[in-house]
Amino acid sequence: MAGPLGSACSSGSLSLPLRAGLCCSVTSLPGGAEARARPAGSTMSSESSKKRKPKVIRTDGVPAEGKRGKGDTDQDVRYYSEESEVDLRDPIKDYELYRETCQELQRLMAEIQELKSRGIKENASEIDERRVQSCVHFMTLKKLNRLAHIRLKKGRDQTHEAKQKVDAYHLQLQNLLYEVMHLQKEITKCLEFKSKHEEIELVSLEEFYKEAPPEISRPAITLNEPHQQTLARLDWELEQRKRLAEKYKECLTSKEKILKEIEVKKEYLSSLQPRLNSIMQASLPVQEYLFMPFDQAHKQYETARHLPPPLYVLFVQASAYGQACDKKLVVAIEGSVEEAKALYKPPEDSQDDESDSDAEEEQTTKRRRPTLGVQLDDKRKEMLKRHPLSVTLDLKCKDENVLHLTFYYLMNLNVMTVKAKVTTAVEMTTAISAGDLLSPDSLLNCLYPGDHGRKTPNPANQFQFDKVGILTLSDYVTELGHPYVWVQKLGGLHFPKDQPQHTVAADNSLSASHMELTVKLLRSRLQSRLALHKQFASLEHGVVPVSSECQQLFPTKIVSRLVKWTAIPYEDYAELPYTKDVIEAGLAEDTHLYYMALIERGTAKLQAAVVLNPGYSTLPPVFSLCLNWKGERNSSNDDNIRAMESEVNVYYKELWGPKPGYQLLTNQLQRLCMVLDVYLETEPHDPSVEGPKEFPQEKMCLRLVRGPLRLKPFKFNYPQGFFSHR
Amino acid sequence: PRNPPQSPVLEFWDPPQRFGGFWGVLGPPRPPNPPQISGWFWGYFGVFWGVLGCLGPPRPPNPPQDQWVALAGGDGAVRVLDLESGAFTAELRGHQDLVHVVALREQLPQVLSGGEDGTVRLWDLRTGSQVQLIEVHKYQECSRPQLGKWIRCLATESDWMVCGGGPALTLWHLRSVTPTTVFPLAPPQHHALFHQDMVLSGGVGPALHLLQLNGDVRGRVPVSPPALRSLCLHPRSPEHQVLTVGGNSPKIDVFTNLGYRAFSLTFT
Repeated sequence: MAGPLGSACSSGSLSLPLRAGLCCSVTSLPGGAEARARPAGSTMSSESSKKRKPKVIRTDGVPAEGKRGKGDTDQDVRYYSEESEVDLRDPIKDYELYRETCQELQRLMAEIQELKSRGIKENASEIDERRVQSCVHFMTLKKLNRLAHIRLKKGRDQTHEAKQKVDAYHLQLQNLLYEVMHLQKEITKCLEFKSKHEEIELVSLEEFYKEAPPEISRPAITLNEPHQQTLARLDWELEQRKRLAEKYKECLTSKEKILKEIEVKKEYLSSLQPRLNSIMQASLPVQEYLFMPFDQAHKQYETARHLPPPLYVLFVQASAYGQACDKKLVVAIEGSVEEAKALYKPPEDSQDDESDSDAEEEQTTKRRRPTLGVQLDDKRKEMLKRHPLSVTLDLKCKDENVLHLTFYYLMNLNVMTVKAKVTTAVEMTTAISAGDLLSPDSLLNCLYPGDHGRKTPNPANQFQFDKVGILTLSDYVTELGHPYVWVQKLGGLHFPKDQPQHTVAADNSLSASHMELTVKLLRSRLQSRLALHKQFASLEHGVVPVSSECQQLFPTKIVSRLVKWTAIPYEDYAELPYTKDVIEAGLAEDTHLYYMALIERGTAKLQAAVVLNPGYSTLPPVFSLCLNWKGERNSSNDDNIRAMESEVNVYYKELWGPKPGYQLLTNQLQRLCMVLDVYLETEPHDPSVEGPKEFPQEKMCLRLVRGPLRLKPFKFNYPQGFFSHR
Repeated sequence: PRNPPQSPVLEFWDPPQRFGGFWGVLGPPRPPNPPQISGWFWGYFGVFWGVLGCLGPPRPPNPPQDQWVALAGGDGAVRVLDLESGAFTAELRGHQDLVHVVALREQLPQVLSGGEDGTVRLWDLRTGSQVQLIEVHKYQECSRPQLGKWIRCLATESDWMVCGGGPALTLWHLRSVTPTTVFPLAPPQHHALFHQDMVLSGGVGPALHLLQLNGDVRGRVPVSPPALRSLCLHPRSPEHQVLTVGGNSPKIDVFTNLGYRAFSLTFT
């Protein structure tokens, strides 16, 4: 299309700025014309293209780039006459002209066409004529085109100018509006501005005017103008704050100073503590010298804090009693304090332990299942667990023998137990029969009547025992100690009989009320046992030891002798036929001690079965006699044997001897020998038997028989030395 | 039993015809005074002086109004105590040693006494003198020298007498003063009674012996005390037959049927 475009451009090129548009518009017009005229004017177009070629060189078209620069310069020089004409001519008329021209052109083309179709040679001149006319028309068209273009351009220019003005105004308007808005915003901002001064709490007006000095408050001005007033107030506020800030700084510094002083004094005090300790240490020898062991007592009280309540009560009461009444009573605490502290771990630890132990337990049950017996055993051990601390009481006697008592507390059962031990000043030769006398198991038996220490005194324990299959505490007493009732009383534990109580707490007054009596009983028990021990040693050798104060109870000459003294078990005692009365009377229980004595004179043998109550010598031993001499005589078939028994069993108070009466047993034995003598010597002579009496009468008797029972004279009278009836 | 003589010893007597229950309490010897005897019966209280010894059962003498007691004395004398006045009306001496037991004869105003010296003596209450002397231990049939010669138990009924102790228990005919039957009881007897056609006796050994007059042992009833000291019958009404026995034990046995022990009384 370069050809037609170039031609169009050449025909219709105008001013510079409208080149593109013009070129387009130009192309459209001639393009259309060209389109109609193409089939007919193909030669013409080629001709016109040839014609236009120099115009092409003149007017640079759009596609010809290289020629543009040249075209530009050319265009600057060019000026169309139509530019001036356009103002003069009427566009409507131009439009009419255009239409006419187009019609003419159409007519001419049609004629040409017609002519061409008739034949070429004839019509050549007509064709040329018409061609020339059409060319003129074309020229007119071109002019019209130019005019149109110029008009358009002018119109556009005008529009453009107007538009530009409008745009400028518009822009101005916009600017102004924008500024207005901006200013409005600023105004509102200013109006909304809250000055920080409003957040400050100022003193009230009255105060301000009162306090502020006049150069600040300036009442003349400020009263009228609120702004000035506020300013003044702010000034005053500022001044005040400055003053206060200074004060604050001063206070800070003084506080710092004081803190430093405090530090210094604290250090001084903390350095004092070790010095006091060293003084205490240094004073220990002085304490010992003066027999005032404060330090020791203090340490004891420290450990005492970890004692369980019953042991604590016991400790306190025993110490108090020892200090007040009994210098020979020494109280001490033994055991591991750390273990005691460990018992009272805080709950979080114990929870951790529980979870750990649960995990452990699970593990162990998975690995090996413990047998039921082992589990029960563990539970039993747990139930019978002792508190790690124990209280020891040492009772010293005048002869330097010591009774050591160790008191334990069974935590889960809430009972106390005791273990006893005796240390003697002199090594004692142990008589065979005296084996049980000082044994720890039975030493403290029946300190109070009926207090065997086999059963637990706490009735609630029975339910606990049932759970773990413990029948009775007596199986464990050798290991745990005896739970005597007096031990519980000393610890302040009182268990009302057969009524399980919720919790029995340790009671100081109960302990205090029993302390003195119990200590006295313990001492007398120890001493009586020791006395018996000595006596037994002598009895086993066949010698009845009679002290000088008791010599007046017996005649100088007693022929019957003790030949044997042995201890016998309870079962043997119970089997003897002549002891049934004693057993039936409840005087012989399995907690008592049993002995057999054999007294002989000539052919007569007197067997004496002795039951020794643990409460010797307050409670006398009971003798049962059996005489083997010409038959077996005992209390059921011989009234005199009964009388002999009553001499030792019933009239024992004469035989106590000097206080505290530990010689009762030996005096009783001596009396038995004496009455056997009397019995044998006062037997009536049997005329049927030949020969003299086996036992000639040597004792002086007033009467041989008396009373319906025909009793012999068994009572010895001092100092006359004869026997009479009671 | 085990009680020493310091505390009172009770002896029960069968209530005599005239008055109601009467029993005597042997009081403790209070040196230097001789022991006391206290006696009560339902009517009034009275305290009498007495001497240690066995108390014989009171029987009303011929005049029923008279009330007196014959007491066997430990000093060898038999005394008669008037219950109303409280004074001794007679003192019969003759025994060499202490008198163990007294018995009254029903028809005659006589008292029999047996003692440690082995004799049974008959006394006339009116004259106050010894009427007869029987030395029991001298009779071969009954004497048991190995046990002694003391007479501890004595009972009499019309012409018959039973006595024993060291010597064997023997039935005597008083008029002829001959021992007719010797009862085969080995241990010494402490108390004997005539009852209907039997002799009841008790002594050393826990048994009450029922003896027939011909000498057969009709029965041996076990009793609680190991030795019997005293037997007491309630003889009046035949339908209520009650026998109480006591001995050296805290129990007193009561028999409603002589064949067996009914129950025991105990001191608490």
